[in-house]
Amino acid sequence: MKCKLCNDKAVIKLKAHNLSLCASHLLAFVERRVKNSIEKYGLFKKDDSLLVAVSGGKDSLSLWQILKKMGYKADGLYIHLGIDGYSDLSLDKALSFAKKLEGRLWVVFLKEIMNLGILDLARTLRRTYCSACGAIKRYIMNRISIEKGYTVLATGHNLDDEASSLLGNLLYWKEDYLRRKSIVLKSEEGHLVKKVKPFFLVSEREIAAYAVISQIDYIYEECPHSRGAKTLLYKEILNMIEEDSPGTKLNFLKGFLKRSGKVGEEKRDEKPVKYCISCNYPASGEKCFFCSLLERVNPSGSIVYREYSFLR
Amino acid sequence: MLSIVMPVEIDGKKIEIEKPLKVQELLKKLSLNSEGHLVVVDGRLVTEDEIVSNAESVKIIRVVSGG
Ligand code: SF4
Ligand SMILES: [Zn+2]
Ligand SMILES: [Zn+2]
Repeated sequence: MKCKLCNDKAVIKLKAHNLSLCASHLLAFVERRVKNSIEKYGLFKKDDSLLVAVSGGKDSLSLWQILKKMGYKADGLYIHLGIDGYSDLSLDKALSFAKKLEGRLWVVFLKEIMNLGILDLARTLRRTYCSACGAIKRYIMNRISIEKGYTVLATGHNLDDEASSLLGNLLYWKEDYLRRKSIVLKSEEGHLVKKVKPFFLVSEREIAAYAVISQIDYIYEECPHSRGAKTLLYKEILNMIEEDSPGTKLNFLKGFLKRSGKVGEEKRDEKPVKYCISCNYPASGEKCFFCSLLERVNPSGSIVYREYSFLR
Repeated sequence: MLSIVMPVEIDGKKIEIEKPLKVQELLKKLSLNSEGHLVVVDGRLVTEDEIVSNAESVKIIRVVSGG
């Protein structure tokens, strides 16, 4: 099979786009898709200061590389959750990559703030691991963005992540989630940073190919507490449909965003919110869940940002 | 044609498959979805129509993550 663009040997066939591509044209393809999404959906501008949420996985590392390559000012943030056999390894990957990229990586150790890892914190919060973990990560990502002056927070969510969560929310008619589901969440001065997902139209397979060709050394193992089962099931089902009818995942997600008028439209929750008296984050009571949790488990604790700069 | 067994690596495990065969057949044999996997032969990403015959190493990369 030959590359449709240059006749070199193809390394991948993208059926959804009816394209077979060589290694260098696959890289260019993924980069162009990201560029188009940024421009078409107004994700951010050249003078924005970006923070990329880096997990050590293929999506976040590839995203960071692409944004830097495109000339954006983009630093990384890694949150060490204190998960045995997973956190240390993924931090290693994130750090080596930051070095290779000559970037700046912020590292936050959850245990350093709370004295506890995510599993104990989830028990304290009486939430499932992933739900507690998600909330804590969102909080920290937001807080550092505001404190360090980043104007946009970018995450590596890809087409498969978005399509599978859309499917899950539709199956159980989770209207709250559906109403909020978007690829851009606007900022709220001093409270919430703007959040974007530049990979939302790039499939997991395309990103993995990008990472393999770029020789990005990412963590292949999953978090041992991955909510996995359901997400994986939905992804697998979508991929079975995709194999039969290429392009379905893209149509599914694009169709939803179009119908819900969510593209480019920046909406947070509508209900009036109160803000935490100690950190300004949205809160249901006086203090947000994070500050209350900190008070409970480690009253003298505070967030420590460790900076690893390989900038040249 | 004489067929020989070759080691194929997937998720850190090594299994044995008879070669030569097409990448497409390899995935089918293992009941793996082509949208969810990439195949790397001797360090090079390959398309599904490629025939694996003299390869030293074959690695299947699962691209789907549960996160
Ligand atoms: S799988 Fe769950 S617990 Fe593990 S990092 Fe992801 S959200 Fe956190
Ligand atoms: Zn080419
Ligand atoms: Zn607070």
